Amino acid sequence: MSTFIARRLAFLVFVTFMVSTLVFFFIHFIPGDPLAIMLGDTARAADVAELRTQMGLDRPLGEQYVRFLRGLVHGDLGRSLRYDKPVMEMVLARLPATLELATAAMIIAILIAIPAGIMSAIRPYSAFDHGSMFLSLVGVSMPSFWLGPLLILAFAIHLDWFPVSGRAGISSLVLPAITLGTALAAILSRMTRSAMLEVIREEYITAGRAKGLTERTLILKHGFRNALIPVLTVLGLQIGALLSGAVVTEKVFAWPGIGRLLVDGIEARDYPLVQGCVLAISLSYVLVNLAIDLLYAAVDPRIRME
Amino acid sequence: MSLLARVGLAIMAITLLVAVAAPALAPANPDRQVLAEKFRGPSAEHPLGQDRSGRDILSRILYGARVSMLVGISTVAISVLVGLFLGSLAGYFGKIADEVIMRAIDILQAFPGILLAIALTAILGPSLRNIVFALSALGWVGYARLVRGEFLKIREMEYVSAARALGAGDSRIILRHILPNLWAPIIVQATFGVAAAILGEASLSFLGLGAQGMPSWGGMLNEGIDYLFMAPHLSIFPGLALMITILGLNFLGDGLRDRLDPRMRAFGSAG
Repeated sequence: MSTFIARRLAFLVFVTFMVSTLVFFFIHFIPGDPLAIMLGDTARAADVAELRTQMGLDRPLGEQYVRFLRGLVHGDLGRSLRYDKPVMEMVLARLPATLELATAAMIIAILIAIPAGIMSAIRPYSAFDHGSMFLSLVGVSMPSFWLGPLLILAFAIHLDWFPVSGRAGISSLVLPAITLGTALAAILSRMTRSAMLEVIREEYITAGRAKGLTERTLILKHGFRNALIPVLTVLGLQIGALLSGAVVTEKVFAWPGIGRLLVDGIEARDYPLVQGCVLAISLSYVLVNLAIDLLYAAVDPRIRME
Repeated sequence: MSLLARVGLAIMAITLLVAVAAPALAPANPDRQVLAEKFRGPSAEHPLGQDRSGRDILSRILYGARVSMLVGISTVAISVLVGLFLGSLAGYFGKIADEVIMRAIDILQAFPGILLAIALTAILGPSLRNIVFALSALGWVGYARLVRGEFLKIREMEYVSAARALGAGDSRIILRHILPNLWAPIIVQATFGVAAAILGEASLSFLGLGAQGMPSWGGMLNEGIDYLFMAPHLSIFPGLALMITILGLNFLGDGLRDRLDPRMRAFGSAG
């Protein structure tokens, strides 16, 4: 198990390094002068030059890169041009709101998808199965930036059950979490259904039934636990969609998370801020995936052996 | 073909037709502003109402199909070509080629969902070309993995050894003996890929990173969100067009998958 963890950690360091490098070179290899774009058409040449010196962009690329990496190791992501604050501080201030939203969305998705997937698999091709699979197709096809406004119209404006936007207590979390969780619920329920269908055909299920186990024990203890691996895989892969989806959802609901910060950074052409947000979101994703890998190894002892 | 797949095919055909024939179908010039009539709801003259500049929403939706279809199809075309090429290299030759390509894929996949596309378009600047580039930058990965996996299976098969024994070169084996087996899963994945690319473009446009100066569904939703309370029709109709198009492609992809390749159960992801 410890070599498994060590290998995953080594890979984590490698990916982190490469992602940071890519993000660095994006900003430095783009055609045109980012500073001129950043300051707009009306900027004076002297201002552009001053900002260039201030950001260290007049130094050789190699030196800038080393400085960037050194800063990164020390938790320094540079300063935001727009807000004149350390990017790291801003990112850390916004990260909890995004994690809260993503976690709530994931919980909602799991609570809907797993029971629905199991029910579908127990009675395949029943009315329930057809209905829930149709709904899941609608769910993945529903853009969150359309579902969100529809939910706001219905539940915030007409019924006045939840606030339209912002982050103030649990009631403000409901609509954004549903918006973000819908696509995940749709994908998970399909995955649960097909994994369960596969497991139910296994001989140990027949053996358990012959032994006189109740259907309930059979499905939940013997069936579902074995169907969990592919479901976990999909969940891990979809967390990426959840984190990048949060960028869009946060814009819809003016949710003060890191996605909203990224969009603000883009609108202000604040490249250090954009770079910091992209890095922070990617690293969260890499870390969550590491956690999922470890969870796997806990669920399935065979994986540790590989 | 199942009923849903037929419905999907019909939706796809209609959207394509609308994209091509938008100038003939649109009742008004999509850019014509009538400021005195801004935010008006649906009327006989403007069946889906008018936007914040008094432009005809129906015409803008019809023209918006062009951006969606153009980005969807060209992104997938580029992704399939790159994925086929790199996937074949990795799967057929193995060793260093495989190692390099697979590590590149690992790194690209460390960027969650469309974040890489958001970052690229934010830096390169919003234009149709940059959007297609940004979406393809990650889009090829799925096809490369698929192609590589199939190659690993197929290259050990006897008929490939037979072809080699008959003196066929690498390129002949790849092009004539292996690739023809791959069309079915690629077509299925490409159908979901068009849906994902259309959704990707719309997401970028919604975030304000869309092509400037032409109507797009995501861009319309971006404008609409600020006026949700006073003019919900600004958001409802373009979103409906987007959802129906993506739903159609997902119906079609599901149907094709069941028909062409029942083994493939992976579900096209769309975030």
